[in-house]
Amino acid sequence: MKHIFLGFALCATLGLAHAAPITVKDDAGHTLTLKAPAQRVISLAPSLTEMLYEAGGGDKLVGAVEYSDFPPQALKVPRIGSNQKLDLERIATLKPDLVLVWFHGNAQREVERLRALGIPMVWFEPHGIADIPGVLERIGRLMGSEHLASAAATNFRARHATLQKENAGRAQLRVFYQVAQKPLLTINDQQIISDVIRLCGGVNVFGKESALVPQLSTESVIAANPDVILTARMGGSGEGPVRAMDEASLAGWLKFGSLTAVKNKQLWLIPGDTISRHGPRILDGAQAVCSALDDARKAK
Amino acid sequence: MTLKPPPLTLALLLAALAVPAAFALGLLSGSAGWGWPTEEIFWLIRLPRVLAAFGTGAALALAGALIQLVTRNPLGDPHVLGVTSGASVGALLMLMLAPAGLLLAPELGAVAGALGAMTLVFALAWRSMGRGLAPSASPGTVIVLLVGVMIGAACSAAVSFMLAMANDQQLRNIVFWLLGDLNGAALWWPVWAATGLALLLAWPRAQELDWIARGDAWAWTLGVPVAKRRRTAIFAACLATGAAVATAGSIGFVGLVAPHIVRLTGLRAARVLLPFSAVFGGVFLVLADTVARTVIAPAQLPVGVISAAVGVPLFLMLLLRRRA
Repeated sequence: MKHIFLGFALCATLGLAHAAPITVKDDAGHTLTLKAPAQRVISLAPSLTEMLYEAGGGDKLVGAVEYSDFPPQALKVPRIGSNQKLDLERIATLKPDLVLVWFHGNAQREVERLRALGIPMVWFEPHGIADIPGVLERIGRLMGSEHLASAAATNFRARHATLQKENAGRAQLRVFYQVAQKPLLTINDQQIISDVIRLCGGVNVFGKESALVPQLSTESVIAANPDVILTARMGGSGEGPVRAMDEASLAGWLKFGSLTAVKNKQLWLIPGDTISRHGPRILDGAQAVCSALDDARKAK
Repeated sequence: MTLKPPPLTLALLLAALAVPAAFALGLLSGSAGWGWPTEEIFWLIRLPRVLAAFGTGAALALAGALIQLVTRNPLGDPHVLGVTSGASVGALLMLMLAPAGLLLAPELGAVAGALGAMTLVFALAWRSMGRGLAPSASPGTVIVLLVGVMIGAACSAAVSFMLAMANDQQLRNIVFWLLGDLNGAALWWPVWAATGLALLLAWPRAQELDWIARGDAWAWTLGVPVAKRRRTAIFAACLATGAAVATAGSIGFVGLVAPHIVRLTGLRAARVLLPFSAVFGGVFLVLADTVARTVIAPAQLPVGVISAAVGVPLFLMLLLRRRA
């Protein structure tokens, strides 16, 4: 009897310790306060799903947006629509006590409906690699898994620092990142991929453009004459960069023999899920980009 | 109906100046800078793009002129017959279903889709195309337009469905087909060939098209085989439109406005309206595309933005000046 009471008291104190309100400031400038760690979480971006698992809250995920395929257990979580077409009813039925929103990736109008339902929401949008551990830590706090999250964040920072050290002082390369071939799209320096290129000692040749995803003419790429051309391979994850001279999306460049990238065979496919998601695996993508750029330096 | 000689000679002179001028401007300007580019940029990028722009503009303007004539509808444009939407559906189906690496898959899909929509229009409205004489029934031209609009609506729904099902990469490709873009257009000659063929089909009987435009009964009393001429003209318009869409996606505005602008300058008879619409449409799209790819270089604007920004005031100016 005594033991039971003792146990009860212990639980009560633990519960009290947890009951201290959690306050987090998100990337949209809102302050979110939860009375207790979230128990039922919905993620509105594949990258946020990855972040949630990395921060130790994956077992609380009750609904996830389409393409939430990593880690593999995320595939078993019910889908709640795509990032621009959320199934609001299903989200409401799942009774989440926290929704992870991708700041500019989700349709504002739909997210506003969720807010009207009184569902607590937190908005994230990492602009650079260095912003990612901060997201992990904040998700960890909201989930009550600070220890796991801060360990993951520390790990991430250490790996980031190692990559920075390895690539510091290497010869600069001019890099063109092709988002799509038709229409011809790239990214500017505000996008996280540009940060990856910078980390590996590259310069995004269209980094100074004002649009986040500028549409280009073929001629402007020839005029910029990049040393390396990169593009993402749909759905790729673990493997490194693949030299892809015959890949359909890149083959159009081959006829321009004067391009340095073509002369030196520097057309590369980067595993798409690691480079295109603003998540913890971006460093895998960075490693792939860095080794492609290393090869380009040797070819120069 | 008859045209006084001075405007025609003047127009010929203007066309003879405008075409080389537009080509020169298009070929000598680009995001790499003004003036003579490197050989590679000239042969592999600018020349094919300028040729494709001219061919596309000419095809759309010719198609617009033909449709406006034989449907007696000033709002007629290449897109009202559903051919454009059909081409989009074909291109998108190939994008989503064709095995990766199949060369020119979306382009071939666009041609097939355009042909499919055209066949449908003909199958459903074959009889209506010659029926403008019956006083009681709704005029054949209206039925042709309505059939075209319905096929277009069905295709648009199919496009929306595919938009909902597409993944990110497919989505970008779809946007290309829906907005139109001349970047990377390498295969320029099919649209020239189609335009040439369309002009060849329609031009020799141009005067009869004028009579049809005044009314089927009028044309019929003058001995014009109304149904046959109308079918040929619509076939020619579909051919040109399909080729234009396969080359550059669906570019709006030129097909509707170019024939009107040519008409407003006084060139109203079909035998001059058709070739001059084609030339004007070609020049117009070359210039619009040149601006679109240089004004915010290295980024570029959709060509439709420029063609509307220039074309709307030009059209209104001509229209209102004539009225005054």
